[in-house]
Amino acid sequence: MKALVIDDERLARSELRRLLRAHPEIEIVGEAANATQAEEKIKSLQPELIFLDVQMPGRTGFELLAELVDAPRVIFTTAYDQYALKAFDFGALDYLLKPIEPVRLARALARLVAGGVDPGRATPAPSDTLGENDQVFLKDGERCWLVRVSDIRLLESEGNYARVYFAGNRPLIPRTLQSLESRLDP
Amino acid sequence: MTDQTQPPRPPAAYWWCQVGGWGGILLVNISTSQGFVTPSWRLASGYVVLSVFGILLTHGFRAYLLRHGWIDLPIRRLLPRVVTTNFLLAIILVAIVVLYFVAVPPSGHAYTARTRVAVVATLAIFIFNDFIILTLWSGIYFGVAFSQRQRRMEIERYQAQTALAEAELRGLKSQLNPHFFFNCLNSLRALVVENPVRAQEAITQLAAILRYHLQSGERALVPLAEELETVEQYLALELIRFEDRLTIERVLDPCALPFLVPPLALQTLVENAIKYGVSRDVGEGAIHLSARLTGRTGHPERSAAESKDPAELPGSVIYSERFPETPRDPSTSPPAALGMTERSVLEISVRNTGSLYAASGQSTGLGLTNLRTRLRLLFGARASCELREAEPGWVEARLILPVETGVAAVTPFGGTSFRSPDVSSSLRS
Repeated sequence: MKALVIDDERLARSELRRLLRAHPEIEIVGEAANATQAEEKIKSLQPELIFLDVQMPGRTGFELLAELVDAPRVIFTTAYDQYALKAFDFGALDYLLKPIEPVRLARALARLVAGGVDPGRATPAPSDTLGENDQVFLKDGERCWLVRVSDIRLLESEGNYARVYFAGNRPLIPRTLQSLESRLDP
Repeated sequence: MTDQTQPPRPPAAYWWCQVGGWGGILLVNISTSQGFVTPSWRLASGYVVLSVFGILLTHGFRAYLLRHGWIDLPIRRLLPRVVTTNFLLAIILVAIVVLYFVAVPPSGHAYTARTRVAVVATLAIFIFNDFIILTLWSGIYFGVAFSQRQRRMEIERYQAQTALAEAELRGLKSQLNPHFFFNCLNSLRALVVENPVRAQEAITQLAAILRYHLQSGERALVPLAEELETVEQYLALELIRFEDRLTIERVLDPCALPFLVPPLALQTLVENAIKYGVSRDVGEGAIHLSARLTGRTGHPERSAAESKDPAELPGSVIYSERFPETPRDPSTSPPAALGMTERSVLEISVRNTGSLYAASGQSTGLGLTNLRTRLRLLFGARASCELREAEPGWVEARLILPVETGVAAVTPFGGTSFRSPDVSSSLRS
């Protein structure tokens, strides 16, 4: 499984690389030190998994993820962002606290397997359309969600924005309804 | 307190006491004079003049003593001033009344004494009477003022204690920057493999910072040199994290190092500079540290010129190397010997690349608020901490601390002999 490590600190990236040596099924295809670099590398390297630091210079990890059109699977890494993590729907999100415990890393990777992706098998590059089992990352102000497409009940257009209705939440995201429609599996 | 130009408006109770007291004296004067002299409206009007001018003069006295801070004088200095003033006021008051009676002589007046001795004796008695009345006035006034001040001070002390406890609690939360500690520990895990010697060093530095943070509550003030030691350890660790993304420059006047600062004051500013400056910059970031004494009389430009000499002070110099070899002895070298005046201040500046606007959105402002509270408790209005955009792309946090005899400890490092003024006494001054 191709993975990209995104962290602004070189030592943090090399530490994660070292920890991932115990997991040969994960192939690190590249590193990025900020959100802009990460965007480019995600586009060019097409990783299936990204390890994403929350606190980064420029745009934060959340901001990056919310702007990604086609997000790979994400495991967040963070030192101490209790406020940021509170904003999350924990169940859907994998995150690792730095310094990273090898056991927790193993557990997070195992969950990926259980989630339907076999990290050992070469998976086809993610297609441009979202199936009903795919997950999307939504961000509205300080709140973030990782939502399964099948859980979304309604999409409502509000000018250049779209309101997404799911499980009692209705965040407003900066996408037009047309752009969302083109991404969804007809 | 001493430099206020307009005395505060007196409370209503003050006016009731003035009118009541002098009105009472008027009634006593009129009623007692019945027996000695023929009652007349002219005589009564003289007594009215006495009471009215009594109010005016004592009110003027009040304004004067407030403006000159007599309330804060110790009794042994206050007493002679009050007695002298009361005596002078008594003479003025008698002079006014005598002049009035000369201008408006009471009909059938009883001032029959024509001999010089009798006139002097009569005047002396009048002066003595008024002096007693004025002494009574002063007694009541200062009695009330003292008890009010006592109560106010007690309330202030409790408020200060509460605020201090709150600040301590908040301080523990905000100052022990968990984001830094965990990130640092994470970097250390990688460094242990990459560069074990540097990793060992870093672990010791981290321990020292942790210890300094935990002990910061024990002392109200520490020498700047000691605070800088922690700041340097902290910066060394941040350099491990940021590597070549962070450059640091220091311009430190060695004369400033022995002076006292609240613990973690500079550390808070430097942490903020990292947090909102370098760690937000995608490119490289810089931090400029400077500390100097300003407003000295003796050799005001000497240290500034010295510090600016680039050959003598390269950007990465360690402050301890700059410290004079022979530490000054506090007993032989008081601040005055360093050219200090009452207006001397310790000016500490922390500049970082970044913009104030970009930082303000994400800031809780807790660190700075906390620091300002501590400064107010320790120094009142004499210390300040400002955050401003010094020039485009540079944010400056400037800390101004008073430098005074009581606070100046001229002990260089890890001093056990410096005097830490206790908080309660500095609150009062």
